[in-house]
Amino acid sequence: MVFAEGFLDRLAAERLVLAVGSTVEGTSSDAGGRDAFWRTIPRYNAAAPHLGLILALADHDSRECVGPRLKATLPHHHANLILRLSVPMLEAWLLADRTALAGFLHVPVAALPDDPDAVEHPKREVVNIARRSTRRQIREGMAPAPGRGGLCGPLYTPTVEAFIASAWDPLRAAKRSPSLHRALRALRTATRSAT
Amino acid sequence: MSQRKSDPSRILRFTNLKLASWKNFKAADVRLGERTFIIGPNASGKSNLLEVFRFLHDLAADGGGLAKAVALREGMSKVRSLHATSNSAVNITVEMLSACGEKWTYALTFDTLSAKSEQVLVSSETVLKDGQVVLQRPDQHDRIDSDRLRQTAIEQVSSNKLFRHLADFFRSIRFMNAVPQLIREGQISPGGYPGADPLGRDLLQHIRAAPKGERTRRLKAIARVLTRVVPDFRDLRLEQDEQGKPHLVVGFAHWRSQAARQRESQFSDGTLRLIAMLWSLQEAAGPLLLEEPEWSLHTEIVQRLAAFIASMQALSGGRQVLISTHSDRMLADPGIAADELLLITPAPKGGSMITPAARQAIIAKAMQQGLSAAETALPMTRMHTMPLFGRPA
Repeated sequence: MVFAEGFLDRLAAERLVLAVGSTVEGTSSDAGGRDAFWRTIPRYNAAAPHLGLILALADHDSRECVGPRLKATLPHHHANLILRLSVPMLEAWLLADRTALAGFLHVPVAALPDDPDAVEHPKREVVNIARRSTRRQIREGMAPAPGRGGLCGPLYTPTVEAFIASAWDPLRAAKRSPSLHRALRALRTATRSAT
Repeated sequence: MSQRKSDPSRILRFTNLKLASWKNFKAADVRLGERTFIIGPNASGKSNLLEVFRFLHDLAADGGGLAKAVALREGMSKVRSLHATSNSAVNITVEMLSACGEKWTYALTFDTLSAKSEQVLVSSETVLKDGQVVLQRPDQHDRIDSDRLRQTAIEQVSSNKLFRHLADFFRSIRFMNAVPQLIREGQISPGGYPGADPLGRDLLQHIRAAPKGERTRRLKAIARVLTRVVPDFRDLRLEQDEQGKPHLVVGFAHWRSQAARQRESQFSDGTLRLIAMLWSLQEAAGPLLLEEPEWSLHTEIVQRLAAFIASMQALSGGRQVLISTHSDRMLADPGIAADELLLITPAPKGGSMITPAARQAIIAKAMQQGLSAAETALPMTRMHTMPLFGRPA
């Protein structure tokens, strides 16, 4: 089962499950936002003994310390609930597959950061990298027009969705992203012990 | 009456809207981009804002006009804001820009003859093109014959020669709230020409009326979207039955060949509404007004809807779209910018006011940091957060 913070997180979580050689059993859904995710996660935790493995994925979000929140939200964390947080957000995990993302966005590989987990705002970084694309469609779709008052262009979501579905390799990305590496390790351990 | 063809470089879009005493808005002054999301609680007046554009359409429509447009809205007492100072005239001022850079302004003020009268008269009507006055009423003819003030110049083919382009643009504004059951019934256009029916009864006729190459191109673009959201979807075509009636036919990848093709009568409500919306979005015409387009669509589609709209706009050369919604799933798309959001909230002295989200410093800042419209702007329109609503930055 997969439960994720947002739509793109859910697609990435599904790829993670496949990457460790398992399949998504049961539902795959997303909360549609951070608040809704953290509101809902205790109910998944409570149901976890009856539902089997649940991969729950959300952004770590460096703006706040997540430790106390985790303790307050899940005082009795069930082993079936594999709660993983991308550091600081999903886009860091996407940036970590440098060759695939560079090819997909039509930018030089050198345009991508070496240490994606350390990038302050990976989503902004993805958008800024896309601005260098040789394809106009990618530049205009991924980046907002000047003065629009937003971070992403109008076609950010479907473009990233297509990248996750067609090009992103979590195993390759894990070599560059410690938080993704840890997530895959936890997921692999849990699926092995479940079988 | 057939649709008049427009030169694509002269297709206009609204860039600014000013209102006085319109419905529940005492006053408003907002900029409009290619895509605008109008958000607010129920009964806040989202529809009344879209209604301004429908009113402009009705002014210029064949068989329309000022008297008819007001009558369709049950008279001046329903058109005029309850919260305006007693008997103030209603004003609508719109600014428009064409793809080739022509700037137009249309300003109309109208009122009743007296407090008790239902007779609607033009108080003033102005058309500017690139800042130059093209029309200024009342003029000397109106002063000689005051009955002329019962009609706007925009509705009179004989007097709007210099700005017929503007009248054509108003006429091409489309409101859309397709009802799947009515699309399935399929009728000749109740509005007299294909695509005129907001409820979508003439959708199939409308699709058939498009030139073949254009029709194929648009159906292919719709098919690309459906591939992503309809399980086992393969292709979409328009076919005619033995009586010559057009049908949409969807092919599914399926092991049973009998079940592999479906007509629109078998489509789900959501699929039909989505097809109707995606078709209209690709037309090179005046603004498309979408009222709660999320209605009857699955979450999987709703969370992609804003991007579908943007990609279809790119195909049509940027048909302007105004969308009223309170769907947090649609507004969770990070591709929605602060300057695309208009918030409708209760005004301090009654009625509603329209606030561009980009003018709220807290929303603009949060969205710059990557928070979505659903996380920033939508909560601002909840009833209990209203008192926190600050003054524009």
